[in-house]
Amino acid sequence: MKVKTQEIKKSILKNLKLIQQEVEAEKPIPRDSEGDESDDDEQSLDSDQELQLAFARKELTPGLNVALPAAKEFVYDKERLERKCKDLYLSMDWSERLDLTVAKSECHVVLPENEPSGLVDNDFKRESFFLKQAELCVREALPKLEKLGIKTTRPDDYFAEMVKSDEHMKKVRENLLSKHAEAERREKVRKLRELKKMGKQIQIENEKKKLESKKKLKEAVKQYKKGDKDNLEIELEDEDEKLGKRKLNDKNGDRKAKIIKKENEENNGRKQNSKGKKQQLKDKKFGFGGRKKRSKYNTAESYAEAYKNPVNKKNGKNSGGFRKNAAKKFANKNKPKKRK
Amino acid sequence: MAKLNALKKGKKNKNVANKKAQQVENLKNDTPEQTPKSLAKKWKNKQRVLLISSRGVSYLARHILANLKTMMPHTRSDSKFARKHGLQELNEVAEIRNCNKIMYLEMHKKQDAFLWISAQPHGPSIKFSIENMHTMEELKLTGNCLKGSRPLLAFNDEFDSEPHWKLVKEMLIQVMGTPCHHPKSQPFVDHVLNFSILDNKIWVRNYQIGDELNSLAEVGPRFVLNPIKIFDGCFGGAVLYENPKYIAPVVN
Repeated sequence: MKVKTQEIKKSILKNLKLIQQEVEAEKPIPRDSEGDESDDDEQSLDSDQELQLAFARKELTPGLNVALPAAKEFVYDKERLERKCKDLYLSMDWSERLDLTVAKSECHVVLPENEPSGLVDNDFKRESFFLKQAELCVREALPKLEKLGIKTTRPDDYFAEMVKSDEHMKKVRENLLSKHAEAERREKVRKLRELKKMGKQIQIENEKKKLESKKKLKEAVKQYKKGDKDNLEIELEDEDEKLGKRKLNDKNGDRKAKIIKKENEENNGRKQNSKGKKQQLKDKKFGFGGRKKRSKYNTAESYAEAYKNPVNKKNGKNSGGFRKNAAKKFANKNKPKKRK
Repeated sequence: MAKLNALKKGKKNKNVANKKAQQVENLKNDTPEQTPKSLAKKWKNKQRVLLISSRGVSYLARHILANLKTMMPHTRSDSKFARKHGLQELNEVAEIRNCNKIMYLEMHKKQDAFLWISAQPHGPSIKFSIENMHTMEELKLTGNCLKGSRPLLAFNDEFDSEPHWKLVKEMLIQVMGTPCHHPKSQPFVDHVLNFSILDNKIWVRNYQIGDELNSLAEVGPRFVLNPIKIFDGCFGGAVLYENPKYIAPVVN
C-alpha cells in the first residue's frame, strides 16, 4: 500500500484551515460520490477525503504519517532444532570427537575502564581471550589424551609434511628477526641521542670545574703575595696531580682520538666513499664486468630486493628540502631552550 | 654346535610363546578405556567433506578454502560450482563424490562471502556469512602444524546454552574434526581449533600446541562466522532458525 506522502502533506495542510473553519462552524463536511469507500474509514487511507475525515476526528496529527510495515517475526523452532541435533549427534568415544567446552567465566580478560565498546573492538584483549580459552582446553585435554595413548608431540626423527612449507617458515623467521633488529637499532639510536645530551652536560660541568679551580689558584696566589703560603702549596700540589694525570692520558688520548676520527670518517665521511647507497647497490649487482646477459629480471624477488633498503629515508641525502628544514629551524627560534 | 643352536632356538621360541600368552592375558583383563592397544585401529567415523566454491570468488576466500583443504585430510574438492544450477545440484555432486558433508563457499560480486555447511542425505544445513578472513600465509601467524593431524576442538560454554548453537557445534565437530585413524591423517594431536561466541558470531582460530604447556602459536586461517539461517534439509527445507541480528548487505 503506497502512501503518497508529499501529496498527503500538501493536501492536509491545504485543507487544514478549511476543516478547522468548518468544524468550528459546525457545518457538514462535503462528501464526494465515493460513498462506499467512506464507510470503512479506519482501513483505507488512500483518498484525501478519508484523511481529512480522520484528521477531523483527531485520529491523525499534522505531519508526516507513514504506514509502517508489520514487524518481522524471526523463525526459531526450538523443538525441531533439538530433535535435529539429536539425530545428527555423533555418538562415539571422545577419542573420535575430541571436543572440549570451557566456561566463558574462566577466561578472565581485564578490559581497560575507558573502553566502552567491550571485547569485540579491543583487538589485543579479544585475541588474548581466545588464547586463554584454547589454553584451558589444552590443559584439560592433555591428561585425557595421555590416557588414551594419543600423542601430542612427535618424535625428533619423525619427518612429515607440514601445513606450511619450510620456505614459508623461513620467511616468517626472517620477518621476526628483521623486526627485532629494527627494534634494537631504534633503541641504540635513542641511547646514543641520550648519551650525547648527557655528554654535553658532562662537558659543561667539566668546564665549570676547570674555571673554579683556576679561580682558586688565582686566589691562592693573591693570598701568597699577601703572605699566606699554605693555600698556594696545596693548590700547586693539586695542579701537579692534574697535570700529571693529564700528561699520561694525553699519550693514549691522542692515539684514541686518532682511531675514533678514522672510524667516523669511514662511517660518515663523504671523502672516502663518495658514492651513494643506490650507486653501491647497483655496483654490487652489475659493476665490474661479469655476466650481464641474464642479470636483470623483473620478478617478485627483484622488486623486493630493490625496496629492501629504502634510499630516501627521513634524514637522508635527498630527503626534505630547504623549506622543510627551514620550517624546523624557524619554528623553535624564539622558544626558550629546554634545560633538563 | 648345531645342538647348541637348536637349543637356543628352542629357548627363543619358548620366550616368544610366553610373551604372546602374556599379551593375550592382558587384553582379556583390560577394558577398552584403559589400554590404547586394545583399541581397534579401524577408521570408524567416516566423514567425507566436499569443499566447493562458486564462481566469482575472491582470492581470499579461495585461499581460505585451500588452507582448509590442506588442514583437513578428510576433504574432497571439486570444480567451481555455477550458481545458476541451483543449490540442489550440490547434493548430486556430493553423491557422486561420495561425501556426507558439504562446505560450500559462495560470493556475491566478490564482495560478501557466504559459507554453507550441510549434512548430505537429510541433514540440516547452516548458512553463515564469513567476515574478517585471514589466510595461513600471513607472516604474523607464526605457528605450524602437521598436514592432516587431528585437531582438538575447543568450544565456549555459550554453545550449550541455546538449541541453535548446539546444532552448530555438532556440525562443526563433525566437519572440522579429523576422523580417528583416517588413512591420510597423522596420529598426533598438535593443534587446537578454537571456536568462541562473541557478539553473536563465531570466531575461529587455529593454534599450534607447542612443547611447553602454555605455548600456543597461531597457525591457520582466521575468520568469523555469522549464522544467518538454519534449514531442515540439505540446502532447502523448512527454516528452523533465522538470526534476527543479521543485517543483509545492501543489494545495488
